[in-house]
Amino acid sequence: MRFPFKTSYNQDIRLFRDRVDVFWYGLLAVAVLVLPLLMDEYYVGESTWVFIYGICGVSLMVLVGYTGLVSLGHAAFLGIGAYAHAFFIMHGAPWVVAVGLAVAITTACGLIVGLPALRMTGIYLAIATLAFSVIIQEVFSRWESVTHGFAGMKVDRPVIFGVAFADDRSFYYLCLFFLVIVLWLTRNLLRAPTGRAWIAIRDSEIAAQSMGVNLAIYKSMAFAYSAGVMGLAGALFAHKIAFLAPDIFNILLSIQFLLLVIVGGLGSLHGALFGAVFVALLPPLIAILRDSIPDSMAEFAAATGITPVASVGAAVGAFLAKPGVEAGIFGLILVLVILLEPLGMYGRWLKIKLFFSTFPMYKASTFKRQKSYMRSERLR
Amino acid sequence: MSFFTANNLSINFGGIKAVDGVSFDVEQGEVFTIIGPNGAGKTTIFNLVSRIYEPSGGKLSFAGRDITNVPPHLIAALGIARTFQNIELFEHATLLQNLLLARHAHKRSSFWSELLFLPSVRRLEIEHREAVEKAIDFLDLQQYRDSLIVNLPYGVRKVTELARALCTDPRLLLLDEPSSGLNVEETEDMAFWIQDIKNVLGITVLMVEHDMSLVSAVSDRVMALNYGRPIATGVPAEVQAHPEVIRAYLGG
Amino acid sequence: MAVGCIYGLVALGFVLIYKATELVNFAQGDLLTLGAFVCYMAVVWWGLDYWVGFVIAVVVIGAFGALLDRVVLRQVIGQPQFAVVMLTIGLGAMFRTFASVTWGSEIYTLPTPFGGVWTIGGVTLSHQYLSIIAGTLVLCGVLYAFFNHTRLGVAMQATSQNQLAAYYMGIPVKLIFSLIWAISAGVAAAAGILLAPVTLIDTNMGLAVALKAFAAAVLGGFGSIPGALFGGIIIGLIELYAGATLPEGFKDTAPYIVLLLMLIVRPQGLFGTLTRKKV
Repeated sequence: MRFPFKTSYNQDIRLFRDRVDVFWYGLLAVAVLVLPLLMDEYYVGESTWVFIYGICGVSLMVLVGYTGLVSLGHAAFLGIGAYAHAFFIMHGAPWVVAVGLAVAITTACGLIVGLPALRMTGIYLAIATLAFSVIIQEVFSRWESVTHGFAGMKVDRPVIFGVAFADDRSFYYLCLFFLVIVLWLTRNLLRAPTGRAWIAIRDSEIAAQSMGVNLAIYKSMAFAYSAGVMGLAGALFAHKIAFLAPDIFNILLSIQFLLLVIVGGLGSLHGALFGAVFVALLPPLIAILRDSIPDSMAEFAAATGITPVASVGAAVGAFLAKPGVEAGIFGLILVLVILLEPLGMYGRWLKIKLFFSTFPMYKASTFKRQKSYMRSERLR
Repeated sequence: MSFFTANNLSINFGGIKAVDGVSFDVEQGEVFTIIGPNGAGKTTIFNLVSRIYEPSGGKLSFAGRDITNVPPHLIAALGIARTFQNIELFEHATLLQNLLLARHAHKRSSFWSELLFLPSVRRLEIEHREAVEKAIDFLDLQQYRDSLIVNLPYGVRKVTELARALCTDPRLLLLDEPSSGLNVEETEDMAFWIQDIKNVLGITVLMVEHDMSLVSAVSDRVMALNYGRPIATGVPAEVQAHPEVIRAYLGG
Repeated sequence: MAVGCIYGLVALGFVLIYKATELVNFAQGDLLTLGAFVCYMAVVWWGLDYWVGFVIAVVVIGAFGALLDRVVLRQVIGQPQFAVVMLTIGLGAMFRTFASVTWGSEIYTLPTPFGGVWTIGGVTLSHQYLSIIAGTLVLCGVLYAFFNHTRLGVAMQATSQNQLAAYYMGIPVKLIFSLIWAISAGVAAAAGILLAPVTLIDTNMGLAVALKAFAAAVLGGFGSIPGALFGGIIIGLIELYAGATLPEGFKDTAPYIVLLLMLIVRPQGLFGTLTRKKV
């Protein structure tokens, strides 16, 4: 186990704890920079989703994980960002201007939604954001002069200052760049008074208020910031998906974002990234398994002579190929994570790290959950 | 004009007069304690002073200023800090983060400078940290600095609340049952700290407390309350011996 | 009106569970789907009578609800509300997948004994819609009698008021929770069967209904049973009038617009009370 020896207050403020951290994060940076050069273009394209979902994750993490406000309608902000960006691009705005406007518009929408949300808590807020997203989705399909309704809207790959990001590799680096920027900005806020005020609102509104936090301002700020980041993600999303249709931005997508932050681990930026990796890579993983399990099982059966294995493999493959199975697998994983690991993948990661750094002295009870009675959340 | 004055303060909850025309004043530098049986309206007075409840009548003034209509989040900036009876810490944050949040009333950095974490933000953060470290030293909380509140024992949480209130640099400190849930030694420590807060830091203390030994050890003046009305005010021994007070407690 | 009753019934299921256990069950709509499917299987595949199928479906889904509580939801008591909401969303997704794997994505029609129509003063009332309204009334009457006039019902009320105190009074709190889940799931199944002739059975029928019902529950003030029914009927009526009088597209959004406006004006819902935490 490492104990960083602290000699100045700055050490608690820095982005990285010490040189060891810098080393590992540096290694990670090199890996994500070099990998696309070695990978097949298809996998580069799939990995780009990790970064886009990562930005979405950061957006929702600020709102849900840090400020404790639940939104069931974040897909609407993604959609607003995507449509606004595509609209401005189509009308000849330079890429950077279009992104800026898209972010500004979503931030404004976040503020508008955030204002009535100030008086609501918990379930009422969730349903209000849900209602908002249903309405926005309807707007997407009806406001044809801007969104082209159900006919959809084609979006080309970005051209920034004359540089085209046409192939998957260059777009990968563009998304990575924006993810890093968003992470840096969000981390800055979180280590400053604003981030602390958010955490305070999450844990005790009354105490936060008594310590001088203006609940209205900081809640709407969280909403606006979260929406703005989602808008940026939306702009990248539009390029990635290449074709915008209103029914993309439905409640299931909002739920998928919530799933992302929970599976990743609430209350940490690491969690948002872990969750993004999970959400982005599970569908291709299921596709790979679907195609490879029957074959490999059949091979195994042929080699060992145990024929039932082949039919089991075929059945598994057929099951995975049925429509709607993916949602069920997501659901199952969500249930298992909440039951077994409420801290998400990041929580598990911390446990594994502690296991190795304290080996062989690790105590499983370090993280034992306390038995608790039902705590009323009606009184907030 | 006294340092802090409550004048004819009242509040109704659905017809019940929880606080009914209470007036008192606190002089600068004293420890003023409110005692009374359960449900007498003690905590309600605190919630009125920290502006969580809207009074239905009466006036509050602090340091020569009418604070009856100041919004709750500006109370801290005026120099009034409080603790809570049932601990309201930020449970999933570290002790250090809890105390740093208490510096919020002194926040001077803008959103945009924080977004980019400009050098000025870093400098202000270090200033906040220095102020917080003073409170940590004062209350001996060094060893818990980086622990999450959920992992701390009850007694330490209670002290953390006190530390958090001190971090706002208050001139008036409201302590809501500082000894509830503490054992005898912890209560003794609490008594010393309250005396130090008064004598060393020069902070005026308004306190609600049940533990009579703590009350008589630290209070300069005591007000007894029953059914939302004051029944006696004076030095601790005087109030304790007051027949009305004895009747209120024994239910005669 | 009739569809509003269904929203009310499903909302009632939400509120029952919420009042008792403070969990919000997002899988309610999918329990409704399962209920309709079970009834369909009983009636069409096994050739049973409609009423027998009805009872079988309600009992099976009710038992399933109790099982869910025992196996899954009991583990998460005391965890943040949000985590539990997500848990039930996950469960709902699993049920949907289960339904689509088992019954495919075809649309089924449930044969009912309510074929005829009554014509009273020129207004045609189809028996199907009447059956929904009647079913809702009967169910509400039964539940009302159960909660107010039986020992078990009163024990359930006590449990939802104060879990710990109920426990100390010798009420088997865990069993009560399971029972409440059973009732709530049973109500969902009944709502599904009543709704089946109107919307036809497919794997996503529950999701659409549940979202509206959820809005209904919130509109009425989460935690108020009359509020839930009332909210359901309001949402149903708004939908009806918006569909008939407003331009296309408003049918599905009008309830949400009304809900949003209502929440801005009265954040605690129509019948809800605003409670404050004591400090």
